[in-house]
Amino acid sequence: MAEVGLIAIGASIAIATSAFATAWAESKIGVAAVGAMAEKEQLFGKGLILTVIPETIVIFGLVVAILIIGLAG
Amino acid sequence: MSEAMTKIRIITPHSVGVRVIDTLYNLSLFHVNPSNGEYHLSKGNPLATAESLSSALLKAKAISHEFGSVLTAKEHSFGKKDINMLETLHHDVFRLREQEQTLRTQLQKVTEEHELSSGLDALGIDRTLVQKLHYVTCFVGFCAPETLQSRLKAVHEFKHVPLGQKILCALFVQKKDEHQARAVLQESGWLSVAIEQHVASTAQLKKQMDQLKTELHTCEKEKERLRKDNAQFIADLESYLDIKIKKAELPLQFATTAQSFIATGFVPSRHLARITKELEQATRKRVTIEELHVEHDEAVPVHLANKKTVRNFEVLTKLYELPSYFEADPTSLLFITFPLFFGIMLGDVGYGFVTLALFLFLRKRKSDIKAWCNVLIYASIVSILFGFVYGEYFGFESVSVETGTALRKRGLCLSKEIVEAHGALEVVYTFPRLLNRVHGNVVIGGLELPSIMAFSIFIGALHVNLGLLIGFYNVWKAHGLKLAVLEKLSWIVLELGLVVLVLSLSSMIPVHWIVGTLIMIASVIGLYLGEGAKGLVEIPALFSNMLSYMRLGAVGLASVGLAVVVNENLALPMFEKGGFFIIGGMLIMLVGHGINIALGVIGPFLHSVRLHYVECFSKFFHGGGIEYIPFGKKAQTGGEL
Repeated sequence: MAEVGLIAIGASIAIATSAFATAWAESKIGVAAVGAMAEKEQLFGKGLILTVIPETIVIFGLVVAILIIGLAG
Repeated sequence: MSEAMTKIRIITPHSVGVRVIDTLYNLSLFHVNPSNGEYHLSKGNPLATAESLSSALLKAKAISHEFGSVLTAKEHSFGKKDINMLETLHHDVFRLREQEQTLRTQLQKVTEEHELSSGLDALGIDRTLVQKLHYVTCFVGFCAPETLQSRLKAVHEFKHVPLGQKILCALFVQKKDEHQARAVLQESGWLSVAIEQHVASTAQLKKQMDQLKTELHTCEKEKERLRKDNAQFIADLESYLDIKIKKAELPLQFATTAQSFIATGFVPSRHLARITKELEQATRKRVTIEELHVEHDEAVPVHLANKKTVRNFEVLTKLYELPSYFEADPTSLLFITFPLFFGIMLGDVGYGFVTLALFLFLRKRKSDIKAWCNVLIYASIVSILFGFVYGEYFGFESVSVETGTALRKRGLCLSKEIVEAHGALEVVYTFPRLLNRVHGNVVIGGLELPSIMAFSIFIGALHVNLGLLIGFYNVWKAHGLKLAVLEKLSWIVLELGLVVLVLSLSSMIPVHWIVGTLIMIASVIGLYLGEGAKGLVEIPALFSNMLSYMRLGAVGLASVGLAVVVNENLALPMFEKGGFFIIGGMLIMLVGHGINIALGVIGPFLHSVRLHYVECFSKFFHGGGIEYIPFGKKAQTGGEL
């Protein structure tokens, strides 16, 4: 039972750290993107793409979390 | 696909210049390339009429602004008489405007005086008598009475009356205390009123006010009459002049010689014969039209010409960037894969129907976002289909035995299953499905993975390779087969090499592992020759791009997770309690699913767009195309043909 708890903590660390990393990266990019859009509205598409690029980090975090939970059987 | 364009040069004498410009305008097919001074030819000058037309347009715009009416302009032709009428109207409108402004200023002044006079009357001050006083001085002004009263000692009489937001005060002091009173008033923020300047009586001022109001009303009526009679005329004239100026200023983009002007630009190839015929007819064959060779680095305007259904998805292409003329238009790819990815992620029959209804409603109400709504309508339909594939209905995969038995009696095919819920085993009836995305797992290489994730990586591999194949076609068209093979096909060979290597190492195929390694080395050399060091650096990115498609499953699982929490952990326990809790449960379901649907539209939309723009487009798309904007009537709409 204690092992299951440790596995759950491991999974939560995987998702939480990657989510924080994504949020931090997206906030930095988002600010710059909105600034650029204020100057030139046509940059919306590019700004959007750049902003969602770090989304991959949290997706990988989720995948790792799912794999860790898989260890619990 | 983008429309095939032909570059042409039109050479014509100055004498028929106006006719050529009129014809080009009516055809609305010629995208002008501004002259860049090639062959040392000077730029053209605007037509002689441009200056007078600009002046007239300025007047028409000023009148239109003064009228403040927004009318749709109708197409009309106007002559010199109409321009003269515009001059008269401009004079009348601005005379009335000036008159109105003067009257308003006067009226405001008289109203203020009238207000003050009424205040003085209320205080009981006789303006002529006050000025003749010998032993008493009268101060009239605005002040806060409580501040003043606390400071005054030698008051003969003090009165005050509210006037608007301020308070009008009158202070009577003996002549000998005048200096002292003056000092106190200064300290108290006294705002003095010179009553000797306000000699007119309240009744006189009232009469003046009424007279000014009547004059202002007459002026406004006159202006309204002018507006009613001429607003449409001005709107039509403004539009007419706008077009005339556009035509008159077009030669600024041409090259010119002493006798002729030379216009260079692009026309859709399928319309070339028509343009030639019409220009020859208009000028009685005093025009030369040459077809020019298009260089490969030239900025050819792009007009996306897709079929009606696919055309809706052009908004997604344009959101990123217009493709260059020499590369494939990715709109058709978006038409197939965007709704597919959206559907895989949202994948719920209930949610799909809700979003479908929402976007059908929005499409009817908001015509300016019709294309976006159409895109999301297709996406919602695919979501419903995937909802059937996953067997999910508002997050419910299964129902209780009682509900299941009732539904089975009505002919629905539900299967009995034993599931683990809250640590106990429970019998439920599950909806029919092809894939269990929440609980279905596959084992790949000894690693247990949710089946939807494995499915997503498979889709990702297909999508990325499709991008590479389109890139292969683009490079082949632009730079030849050899570079296309080295630059794009090498990636696919690299993947094949890796597959052979993995399969041989795991003894799944009877091939020595060295074969796979050799294939991979060959592809890496090809990549280096095709893309240089950049290609080698990007090798890991190819595989991380494919893994990135796992979001197709992950976003969906997160959405299902939220729905399950709303249904099983929040709403159903409330329903079980019965009574008023049922209403609470219903509210929880409404709010919970509302939030989940909102997230379910934003998330899948953004992720689907991103998978295209980042993972797939980077394999073939360069963009940087300039929009085809033909000179003419339909220029504003981007040249619908």
